[in-house]
Amino acid sequence: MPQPAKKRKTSSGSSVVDFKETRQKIRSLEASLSDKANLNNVVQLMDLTSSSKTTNAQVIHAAMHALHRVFSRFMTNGDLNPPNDPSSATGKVTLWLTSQFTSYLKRLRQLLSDQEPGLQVPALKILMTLVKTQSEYANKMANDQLQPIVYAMVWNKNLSAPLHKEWIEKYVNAYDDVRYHFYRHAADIMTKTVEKGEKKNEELRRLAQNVFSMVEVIYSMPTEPSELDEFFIELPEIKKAMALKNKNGGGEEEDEDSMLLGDEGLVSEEEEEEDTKEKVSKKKDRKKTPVLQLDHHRRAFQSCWIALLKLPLTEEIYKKTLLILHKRILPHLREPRFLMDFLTDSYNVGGSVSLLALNGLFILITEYNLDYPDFYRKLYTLLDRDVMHVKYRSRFFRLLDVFLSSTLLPANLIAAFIKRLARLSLTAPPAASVIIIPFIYNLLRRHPICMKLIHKNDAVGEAEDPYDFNEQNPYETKALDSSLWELQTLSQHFYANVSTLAKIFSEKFLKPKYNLEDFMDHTYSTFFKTEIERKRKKEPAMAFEKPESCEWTL
Amino acid sequence: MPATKKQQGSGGSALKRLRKSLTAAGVVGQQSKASRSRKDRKRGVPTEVGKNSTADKLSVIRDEFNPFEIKTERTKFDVLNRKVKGTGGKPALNKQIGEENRKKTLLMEMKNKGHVGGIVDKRFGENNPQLTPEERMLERFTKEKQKNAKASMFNLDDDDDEMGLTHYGQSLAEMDDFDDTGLRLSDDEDGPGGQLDRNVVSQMHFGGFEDSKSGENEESDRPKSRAEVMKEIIMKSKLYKQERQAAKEEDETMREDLDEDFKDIQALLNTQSTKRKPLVSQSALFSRTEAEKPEAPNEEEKDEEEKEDEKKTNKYSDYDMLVQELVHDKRAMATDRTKTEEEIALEEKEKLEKAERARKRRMEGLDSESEDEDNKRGRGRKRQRKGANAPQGDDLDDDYLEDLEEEASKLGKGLTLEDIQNGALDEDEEDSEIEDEEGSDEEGSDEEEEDEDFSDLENDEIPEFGEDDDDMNEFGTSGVIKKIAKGKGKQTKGTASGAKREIPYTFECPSTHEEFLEILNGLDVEDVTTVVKRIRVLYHVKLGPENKAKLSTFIGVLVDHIAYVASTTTPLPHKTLESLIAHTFEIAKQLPTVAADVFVTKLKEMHGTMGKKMYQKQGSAFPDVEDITLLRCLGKVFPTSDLTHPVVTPAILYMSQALALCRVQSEIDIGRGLFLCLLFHEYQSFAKRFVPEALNFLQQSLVFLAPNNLFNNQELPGTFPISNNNDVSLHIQDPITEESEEIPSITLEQLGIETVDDDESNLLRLSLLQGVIRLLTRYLQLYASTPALVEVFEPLHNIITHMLTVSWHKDIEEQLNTLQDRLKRQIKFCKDKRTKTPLRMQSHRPIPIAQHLPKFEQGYSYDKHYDPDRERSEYNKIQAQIKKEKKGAMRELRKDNAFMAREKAKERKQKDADYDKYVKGVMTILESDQAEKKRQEREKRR
Repeated sequence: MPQPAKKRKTSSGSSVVDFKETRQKIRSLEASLSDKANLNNVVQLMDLTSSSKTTNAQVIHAAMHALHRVFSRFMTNGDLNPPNDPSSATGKVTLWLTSQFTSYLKRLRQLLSDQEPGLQVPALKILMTLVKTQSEYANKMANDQLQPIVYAMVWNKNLSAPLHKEWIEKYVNAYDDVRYHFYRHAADIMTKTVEKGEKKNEELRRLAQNVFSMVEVIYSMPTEPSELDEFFIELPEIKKAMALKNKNGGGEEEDEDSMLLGDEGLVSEEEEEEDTKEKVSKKKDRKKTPVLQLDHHRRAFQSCWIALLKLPLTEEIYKKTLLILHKRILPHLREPRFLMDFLTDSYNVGGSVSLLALNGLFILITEYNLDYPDFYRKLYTLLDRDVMHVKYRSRFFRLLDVFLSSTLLPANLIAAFIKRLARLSLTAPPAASVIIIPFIYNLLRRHPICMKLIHKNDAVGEAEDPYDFNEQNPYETKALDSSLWELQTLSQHFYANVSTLAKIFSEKFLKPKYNLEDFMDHTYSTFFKTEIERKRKKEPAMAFEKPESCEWTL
Repeated sequence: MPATKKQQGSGGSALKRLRKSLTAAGVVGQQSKASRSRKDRKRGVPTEVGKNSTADKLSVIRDEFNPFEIKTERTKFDVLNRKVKGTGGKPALNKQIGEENRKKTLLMEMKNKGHVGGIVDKRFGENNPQLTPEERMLERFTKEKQKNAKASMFNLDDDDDEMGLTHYGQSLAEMDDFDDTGLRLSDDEDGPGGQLDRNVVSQMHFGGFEDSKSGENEESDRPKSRAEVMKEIIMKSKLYKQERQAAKEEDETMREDLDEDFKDIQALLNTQSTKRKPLVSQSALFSRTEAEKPEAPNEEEKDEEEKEDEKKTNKYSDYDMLVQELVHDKRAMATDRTKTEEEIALEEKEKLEKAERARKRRMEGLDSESEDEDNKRGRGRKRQRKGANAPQGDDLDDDYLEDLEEEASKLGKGLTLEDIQNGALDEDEEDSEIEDEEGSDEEGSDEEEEDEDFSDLENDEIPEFGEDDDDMNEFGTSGVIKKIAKGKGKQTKGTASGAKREIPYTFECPSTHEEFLEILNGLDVEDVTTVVKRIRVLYHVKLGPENKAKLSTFIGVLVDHIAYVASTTTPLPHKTLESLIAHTFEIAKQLPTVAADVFVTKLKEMHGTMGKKMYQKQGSAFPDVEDITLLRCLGKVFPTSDLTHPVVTPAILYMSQALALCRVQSEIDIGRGLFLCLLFHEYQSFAKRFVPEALNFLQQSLVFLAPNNLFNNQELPGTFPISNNNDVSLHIQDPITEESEEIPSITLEQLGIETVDDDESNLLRLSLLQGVIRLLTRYLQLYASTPALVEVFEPLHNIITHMLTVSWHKDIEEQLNTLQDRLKRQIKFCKDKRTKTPLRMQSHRPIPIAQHLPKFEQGYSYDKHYDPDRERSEYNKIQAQIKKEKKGAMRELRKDNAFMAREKAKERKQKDADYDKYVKGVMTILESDQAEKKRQEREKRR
C-alpha cells in the first residue's frame, strides 16, 4: 500500500474503523460472487470504487482489486463471451456483466488521473493485465482496450511521477509492441484533436506536455530488426517468429550433422516440403504483423513526433526537442526530410533556439541534401552578444568548427568570423575565451591570408577600424583589413590559462592545429575547482607590502 | 666451431679454410696458448670441442667441411646489403639433433604414458636447468657435508677426541708450537725479545709436560674448541660493554658538571655577543645577505621573561633554544662599526627592490625563486635571522637606536632619525619592526587606549632594549630583567584590574571562534585589536614549538572574526577591520601554508553557498558584506599580481563568476557587484590584467540604472550580455532629484540589508550610478594602455553619450561629462597610436619552409626497419615475432607428430615382427611335431 494513502487514513482517525468494516464487507462481497446467484453484488463493489461515494483511497484500492479478481475469473470461465442467444436469460446476464465490465474499465481509466498516485499505479497495472489477458484470449492486440488507456494517459491532468515512471519503464520502454501501439495511438489522438480544433490552447499544451514527457524518455527505439524481441503480448505468430529467429542459427548445423551422418535418405520428402512451407509462411507472417517490422515501428514513431511538433509547444519543450533531435529523433525517422521546415523555421528564430536547431540542420544538410540559402550569413548573425554566455556554447562551437573547417571558404568570410569572435571574446567569460583562442588559431592556420589580421606589414596603421561590427553580411564587414587588437588584450586576461593561451599568436605558428575538444565544456565552476584543488608544490607566496587602509565607500 | 664460423665469412679457398681451422683446432702447426685470446682464457672458455682427442677434433672439422652436409639455396636476385636467412644450413645435422632431443624427451614421455609411479628424482638441483653440472655437484657436496657435520658424537674424524700420535700419553696434535709461540708473543711482549723464554722452553720442549695442564696456560696449550671460543667472545663482549657503560657514566657526570657551570659562562658568552657583520662597503655579497634582512618579528624577546614562569614546565625547550642559538652563533669575530644611515637605507631599498623583482617574476608566471637571490621563505628566513639586525660594533645600548633607524628607512626618507626618536614613545612601537601599522591604527583609536598601550609598552619593551632582536640570544643579564619584567607584569596586572576596561594580559590561545568571542565578551569592538596583538605576542611562533599549531588555529579564528565583525557590527568598524586584516597579514606571513588553507576553505564555502543560492533562485546570490570583507582581506594577505596563485586565482575566479552569473534583482545586488568590481580593481591595480566580467557588470548596471526606455536592447552598443528577464525594474525614476544637494557615496555597510525601502530607492540608485561612473573612470585609467582600448571602451562611450541625452543631477552630469571626455581622449589617443604602430604580432623571423628531401640513411640496410612511428614499428616487431614463434611452434609440433607417428610405426612393426617370429616359432614346433607324427605314422605303416 503506498504511503500517501496510509497517511490519509491516519489523518481521519474515525475512518480507520470504517475502513476495516468496509474491507470486511468487500471481502464478503467478493466471496459471495463465486456463486452466480449473487451477481448483483458487483454493483455494490462498483459503487465502492467510484470516488463520489467513497473518499477513502484504501477502500477504492481494495474494491478495485476485488473486482479485478472477480472479472478475471469470469473471463477465464468464459462468462464474458458474447452470448449465442442474447435474448435468453443467460445471454442477458452475460450482456449485463459485459456492460458492468466496461464500466469497470472506464472507472479504472478515470482512476488513472486520480490525484492519488497510490491509486493511479495499480489502476494502470490492472488495466494492462486486463489488456494482456484479453489480447491473449482474442489472439490479437486488444487495441480497443489499449487505445483508451493511451488516451487517458496523454490527456491525464495529474500525470504523477510514479505513474509516469511505471508506464514508461514497465511498459512502453520495456516492450516493443506496447511502444509501437503507444506511438500509433498517441499520433492518432494528437492529429485528431488538432483537426477538430475544439480544444483550447491550454489543453493542447497539456497534451503536448504529457506526450513529450513520455516520448522524451523512450530510449528503446530499435535501429535493427533483430532488436525487436520483447513483446508484451506474445501472440502465436510472434511466438513463431521468435522461435524461428532463435532457431535460425541452429538449423543449419543440424543439417550439416545429418549430412555427416549420411542419413539423407531417411528424411522424407514430405517433411522437406513442410519445411519450405513453413519458411514461406514465415515470410508471409512478417508481412502480416507490423509489430515485427522495423519499418512500421519507424512509421509510428515518425507520425507521433510530427503530430507532436504540430501542437503548440512551450519554449522549454521546444528547446528540449531540439536538444535531442539530432541524436534521438532524426535517426529513427523514416523520412527525415519532414523535419526540414521545422528545423529551418527554428533556425530562423534566432538566439539559443537557432543554436540548437543548427545540429539537426547540419544532419539534414550533410545527409539529406538540404540546401539552405545564405547559410553562412545566418551563421554569422548567430554570433551575437549572448552566444558566449549560453549553456550550449560548446555544442555551438563544435558545429561552427565543422562548418568553418573547409579551406575553400573565402578568406573575407573567415576573417569576418575571426574578427567577430575576437570582438565577442572581450566580453566573454574565460571558459568561452579558452575556446575562442584555439579556434581562431586553427582558422588562421587554415587560411594563411588571414594572418594579415594579426600581423600588418604596412608602415602606417589605420586609425579607424575598417571592420563594421554591426554589418550583418559577413562578406561585407571588411574584416580582412582590420587587426586583431582584441587578442593582445586577451593576453592580459586575468585568468592565467587564457592569457598564456592568447600568447600563442605572438609566437611562431608551429603547431598544426589545436584539438578543440580539450577546450570545450569548461565553466567557471570547473575552473574554480581545478584551481582550488591544484596541489601546491611550495609555500604560497605572500604579499610583502603591508596592507594599507582600504576603501569602504564608493 | 666458433673458430670456423669466422672464417666462413672471410672467404678464401676451401683448402685455405681447412688449413686455418686445423691450425685453430691445434691439430696442425704450432700450439701456443697465446693463440687464444687472453679474454677467452680469462673467461674460461673451453678451447675447442673435443680438445683432448685429436680424433674428435678431426671429426668435427670433417663434419664442418663435408659439402654433402651443407645445403645452400640460391637466391634468384641478389640484393646488395640484404641478409637472407636460411640460405645455408645443415639440415641433416639439425634433423639429427632434433631427433635426439625428441628421443630424450618425447619418446620418454610416450613410453611412460599410462604408467603410474616411478621414482621421483629429488636430488638437489636435478630439475633446475639453471645450474651447470659442476655447480650441481658442488651444491650436492656442500649439502652432504652439512648433513654430516650435525651428527658428530661418534664421528671418528671429529677433532675433540682425536686419536693420534702421543707422547707420554699426551696427544701430540694438541701441541702446536706455532700456536703457542703466537700466544706468547702477543701476551707478554715485554720479555726479552729474540730468545725463547725459559718458560717456553720448559713448557714446550719435549719432556716439559708437567705444567701444561696447570692454570691459565692450559688454554694456550691446545687449540680451543668451538665452545671455548664462543665463551671467550662472550666474555670479551661483556667486558667491552661494561667499559662502555663506565665511560658513558663518566660523560654524564661531566656533562652535568658542565651544565652547572654553564650558567656562569653563559653570561660571559652573551655579553660578547659576537656576530660579525662585514661592512657594506666591503663586499657586495654581504650586503646582499644583509638585504635579506627579515622583517622577522622579534617581539618574542621582550616577552621571553614574562613567559618564563609559564614555561617552567618544559624546561628542555629552553635548553633546546640555547643550543640552537649556540649553533647559529658565530664565535670570536671582530665587531663591526655601526652602519650609517645611508647604508641602512640602501639595504632597505635593496630589500624592497628584491621583493618587487620577485613579485614581477611571479606576475609573469616565472618561478620567483629561480632568481639568483634566495628569497625562499623558509630558508630565507633562517638566513635572515642569522644575518639581520645583528648588533654591531660597540653596541651595548644602541640597538634601540638601530631599530629606530630601521623604522626610519621603512617609513621612507621623509622622516629623520630624530623625528622618530622623539616621537617613538608616543606610538605603540612595541613590535618595532613589523607592527608599525598597528601603531598608526592605535593612533586612530581613543586616548585611553593609548595610555594603556603606553604602560603596555613599558612592560614589554624594556627588556628588548638590551636584546638582540632576531637572534633570541638570552642575555646574561636576563635574570635581572626577568625579575623586573615579572614585577612589572604583576604591577600592570594590578593596574589593569583597576582600569576601566579590563583587557586581560594573558589568554588561552583561542582555538575556536566561540572561545575568542568569550574572551572578547564585554569588550568594545575596537579592543579586539589589542587582544589580538597580545595573543600574537604571547604565542609567537618562536616562543615555543607548540605555538605554531596554536597560531595556525588562531589565524582561522581571526579570519572568522573578521567575517563576524563585518556581518554583525554596524556601522562597520573600518579601523578595526583594517587592523585585523593587518594582523592576519602578519600571522599569515609566518604561516603561509596554513593561511592559504584557511582562505581556501573559506573560498570553497563561499563558492558552495553561491552555487546553492543561484540554483535555488531565491535571495541574492551575490557575495555579501562578510564575503566581500574576507575577499578584501585575502587580497591584502596574498599577492594579487601573481600570474597564478593557489589562493588568489580561485578567489578571482569566484568573484568573476559572481559578477557574471548572479542575477541582479535589487539595488543591493548592484551595490555588492560594485564592491566586487572595486575589489577587482584593487587586485589588478598592479598587474593591470583585463577583467571582462567587471566591465560587463559595470556596463550592465549602467543600462539597468538608466532611466526607463533609454536603452532598447536591439540598439544597445557593445557586446556585453544583457538578460531581459529582469523581474525588478531598477531604472532611475527621477534623474534630476533636485531636493538632494549632494549624492551620497555608497558605503559597504549599506549593503548588509536585503531589501530597500521604496522612498529611498531613487537616491540609492543615483548613488549606485555615481559609484558605477567612478569605477568606470578608474577602470579606464587602469586599462589606459591595453591594446584593444578602442574595442573595449568605444561601446561605453556610446552608452555614456546616449545617457547624456537626458538631464541629470548636477553631480552625475558632471561626472558623466568628465568620463565622456576622458573616454574620447583615450580612444583618440589609442587610435593615434595605432596609426603609428600597426599590429605586428608575428615579427619574428619567418618560419622556414618545410623541406621534403628524401631522408638518406648512412649505411642503409634492408633488414632494418626505418619506421619513424615508434609505436607502429614496435607493434610490427612484435607481430613479426609472434608470427615467427608461431611458425616455429607449428613446425616443431609437426615434427613431433611425425616423430611420434614414426615411433608408433616402429613399435607396431616391432610388434608385428615379434608376432611373426612367435607364430613362426609355433609353426616350426607344430611343423616339426607334424613331421614327427608323420614320420612315426610312416614308420608304423612300414
